[in-house]
Amino acid sequence: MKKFHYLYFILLSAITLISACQKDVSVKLPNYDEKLVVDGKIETGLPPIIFLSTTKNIFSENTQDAIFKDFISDALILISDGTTKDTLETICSDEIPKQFQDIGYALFGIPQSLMSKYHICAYSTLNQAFFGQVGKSYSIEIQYKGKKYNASTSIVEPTYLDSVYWKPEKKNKDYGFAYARLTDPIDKYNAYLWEVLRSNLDKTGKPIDLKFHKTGNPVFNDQFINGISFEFFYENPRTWRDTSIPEQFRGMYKREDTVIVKFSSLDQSTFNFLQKKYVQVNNGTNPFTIPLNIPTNISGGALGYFGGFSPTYYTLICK
Amino acid sequence: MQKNTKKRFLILLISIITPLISFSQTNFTLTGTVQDKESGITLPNVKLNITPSKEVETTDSSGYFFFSLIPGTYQLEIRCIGYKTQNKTISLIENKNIEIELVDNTKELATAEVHTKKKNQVQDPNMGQIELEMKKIKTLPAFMGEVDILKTIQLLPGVSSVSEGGQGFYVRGGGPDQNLVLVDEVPVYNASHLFGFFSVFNSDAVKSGNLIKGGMPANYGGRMSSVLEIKTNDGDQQKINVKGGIGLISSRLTIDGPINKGKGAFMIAGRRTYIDELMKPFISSSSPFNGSAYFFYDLNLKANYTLGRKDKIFFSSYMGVDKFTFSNKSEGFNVEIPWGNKLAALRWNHQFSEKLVMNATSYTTNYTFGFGSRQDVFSIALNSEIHDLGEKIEFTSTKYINHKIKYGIDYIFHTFLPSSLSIEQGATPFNIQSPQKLRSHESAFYINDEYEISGKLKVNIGLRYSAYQFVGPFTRHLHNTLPNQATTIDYANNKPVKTYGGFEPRIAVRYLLKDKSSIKFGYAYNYQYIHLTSLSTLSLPTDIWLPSTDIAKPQQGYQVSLGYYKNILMDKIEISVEAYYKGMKNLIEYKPGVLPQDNFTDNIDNLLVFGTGKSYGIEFFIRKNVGKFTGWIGYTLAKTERYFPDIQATPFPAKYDRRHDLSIVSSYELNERWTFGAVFVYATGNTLTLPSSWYLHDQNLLFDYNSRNSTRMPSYHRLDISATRFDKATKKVYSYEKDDYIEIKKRYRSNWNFSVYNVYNHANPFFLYLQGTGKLVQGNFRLSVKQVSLFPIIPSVTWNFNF
Repeated sequence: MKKFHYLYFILLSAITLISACQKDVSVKLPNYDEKLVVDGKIETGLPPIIFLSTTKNIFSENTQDAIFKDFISDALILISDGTTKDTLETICSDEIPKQFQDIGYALFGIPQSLMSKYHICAYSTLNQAFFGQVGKSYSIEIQYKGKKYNASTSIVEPTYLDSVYWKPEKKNKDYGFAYARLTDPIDKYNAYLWEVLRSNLDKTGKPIDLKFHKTGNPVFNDQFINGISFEFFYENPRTWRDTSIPEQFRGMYKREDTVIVKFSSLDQSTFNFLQKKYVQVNNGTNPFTIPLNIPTNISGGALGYFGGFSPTYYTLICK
Repeated sequence: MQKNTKKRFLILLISIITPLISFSQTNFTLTGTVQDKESGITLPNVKLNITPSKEVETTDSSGYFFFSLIPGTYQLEIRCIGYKTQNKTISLIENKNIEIELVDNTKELATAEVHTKKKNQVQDPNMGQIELEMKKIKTLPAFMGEVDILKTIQLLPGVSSVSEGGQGFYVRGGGPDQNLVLVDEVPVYNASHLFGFFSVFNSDAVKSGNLIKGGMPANYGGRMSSVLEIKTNDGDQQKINVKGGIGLISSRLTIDGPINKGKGAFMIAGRRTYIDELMKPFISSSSPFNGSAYFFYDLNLKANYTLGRKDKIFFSSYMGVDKFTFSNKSEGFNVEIPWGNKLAALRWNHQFSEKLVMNATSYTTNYTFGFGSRQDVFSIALNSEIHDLGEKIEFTSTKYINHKIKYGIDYIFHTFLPSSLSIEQGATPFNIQSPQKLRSHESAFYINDEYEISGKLKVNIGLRYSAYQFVGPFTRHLHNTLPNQATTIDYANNKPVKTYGGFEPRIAVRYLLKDKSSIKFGYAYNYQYIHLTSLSTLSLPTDIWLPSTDIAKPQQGYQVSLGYYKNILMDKIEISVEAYYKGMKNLIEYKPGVLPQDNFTDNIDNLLVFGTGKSYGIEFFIRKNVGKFTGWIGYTLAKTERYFPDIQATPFPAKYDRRHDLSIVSSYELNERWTFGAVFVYATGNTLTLPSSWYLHDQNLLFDYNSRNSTRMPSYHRLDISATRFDKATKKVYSYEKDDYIEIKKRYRSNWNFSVYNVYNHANPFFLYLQGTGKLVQGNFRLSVKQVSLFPIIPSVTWNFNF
């Protein structure tokens, strides 16, 4: 939720101010062991998507080649829904036909120009038995370099938003945040993920956003809101660096924006992973926190997560 | 300590104590008080040498002293910083009580004493005790013009600061919560302002400080590592005095004077910063700091009154407030963060006889931290609080020859509110469980005997028994319960939840080798019933104090120390070497992965893991005591480790583990008008936890940490210098009686202190962090370790006055 926007800003500014007295130093870092990293998800109505890569030394060479050639395409991944098993196949960036590269961008997240240059593979299946279903659990087994890694997740019942709406700012009626009202079910654990995609068309006739984007802190659970009905708001994660917008209105939606809100329900384990992931993403290694390792549901010594998502979709027209 | 070992130690202790206190001789006592002749203020820490018996005593906090001597004629020498040394001839044929008045003579004695003052280190059986006098600290370099006794304490061997400029301090590998900070005998939980950069001690209100870093005597307890006793000024019993100062960031004013002349005195001291007012003109309306303000102020009040020959009462109080505010009216957003201490104490000093004195103290101490924010209809409030009500009764007896026996009882009723949270949106309150106040009783009784067995052998032996009870109302949240099993346990008001207790033996032995050297051995066992834990790498006011509970057991620790002490060049130079080993258990840390919001939905102790610690080291200290050039060099070689199996399978360095720590402190009095000071410090860098690798997840850069505190910051070093210019002590006035100009002492005095902090502008590490530059998809992404430094070269000037 986006309630502490200004407080974060003050704290960040304070850190920036004292950071003015800073310099590069050379220190000895702890020993490094390479680990497998799993980035996998399954959501309602869609096939599982899994990427595999490895951890890297803090001071390793980070050229484009070094990063993108590090994705793993020669592992074996088995998936099961408890009754049926299947082997996932690879869909690789350099195999995407040119006319589908926009969809490829949504999948791989790299610029279309790089897709054919690198062999980045997602593990998935077109077997509809493994398209995500509410109430089902899914487990995977990864076999790589003689080791086995296992994980499981589930897709919970979705919780629907009561409403989504847009509120213009008092200072400038052309900008505002996206608001929503939610009534949290009292009788069960609930956790949520907020993602957005602007479907306005740009000058070339393409949607402004080709994939869903997450906000700065996109997850929350019912730790403090169990059973209550309340209003919350979120920023536009795509305009923080948009210099065409006055600085004080960056992070807001423009009047006439059309926003697809994807509001997913999560199980507790997936929430724990995402919550701590975004704490680390937002805090980095600053000293006002303690070092935080992100939990994983992958057994066998790997990092990352295989999570289930139960989304509902809403169209918000900013006017 | 193992149970059997402890039992054997107790038997040994009792067998030593029993015969010592069972016999008496027909000795007489020489008792009395030492006070300032002009003001009537009693003087603590005054050294009294008596010959021919060669005994040395020091006045206590009430200016009281005693000797137990065979009948005869003695020469008594009374020495104190800032006063003329006095000699008296005493004929002792019966118990005698005398009053000694010393004459202020700062100018003469300033050249003959040192910045820190210790009881004769060779003679005194106690180890690791250092007294500091505020008068001399004021001539040392001052950070941003603020003279600070805690900053000076951090220059002593075995003591290190938590971070650059920080007030928290670590003593011999113990945590900052393991230091008992007492202001006029009342504990202070957070002795700092401005997130730790300044201490709560107003230099004009403080008379002296006494640090016990070795094994503490049995009359102290409740903390494992050290005791820092701060005494505030009593006030002048004869006339009104005003003193104050104007500094770079704050100003202060102190007024003291008589209450019924000669019977009592009062002292009021206040201080306030003006950073907020000074910064306002420099903050533009577009700055993110526009609308923000910070200030602190503190007030000290003290009064004493003599009720008769045998009774005296003291009242002492302190209140300090820090406040940060931010307001953006156009956005309807504001933040307010207040925190501070309040304390008050009433002490009754009663002399039953020349051989028995009682001090009874009742006190209250309170520390609060708050955070409040509102944006439109959304508001959040966070609070934490500690409140202690305490009572101490202590008797000092000199009934038995060569014995100074102290015994007494302590009691504290603790109320902790570790954290409470409320969130509202309009009229809708968020669903947060009610905050739990944690209540407990802590009590102790003790006996301590300072016994001179022979001319060479002296012991300070004591035994303390402390007991602790955590009581309801309290709700315990249970985890991993079976279906249909209750998930909470409720305890009724005042119902015991958990009781702890144990003996705390203490012993210090001194053996004189020659006239000017001695060896000492010390052992102390301590229980500590409170804990401090943090979700930050830095020490912040948000750190959570927590009492021992059914899950969080009391911290326990022991310290063994051995030292060699020698005075050379007719006591002008003192040399000491002390080695120590300290073991600690039931230390706490948050479980890996705990987030601040978890504190509000669970018992905090359910979020903790428990571990042990050890530290050992050797401290070298050489100090020049007299002459125009005075000062000391302290060096510590030490190692401090922690072991928390739920965090890491192997022991890891404590975050303040420093292998080398060096301090050089010097003062040179050029003449009556100018005194110069310099301080140099060098320390191995603190440890911290940085990641060992990075990885990508959904295009986010993430870090993996695999080893706690395994990175060491660059080493820390700094030089500060100061110059203090005093005005002339006298002025010429025309005397009609003598028909000439005569020199008289000036009533109005002032001085200027010029200080330069970090003279050679060294960028010392405050913290390190990883910074990424470039973009992954463009292949120019780089990670580098950045060092953030706080304070460059900072000149400051302070003007002080008194009349």
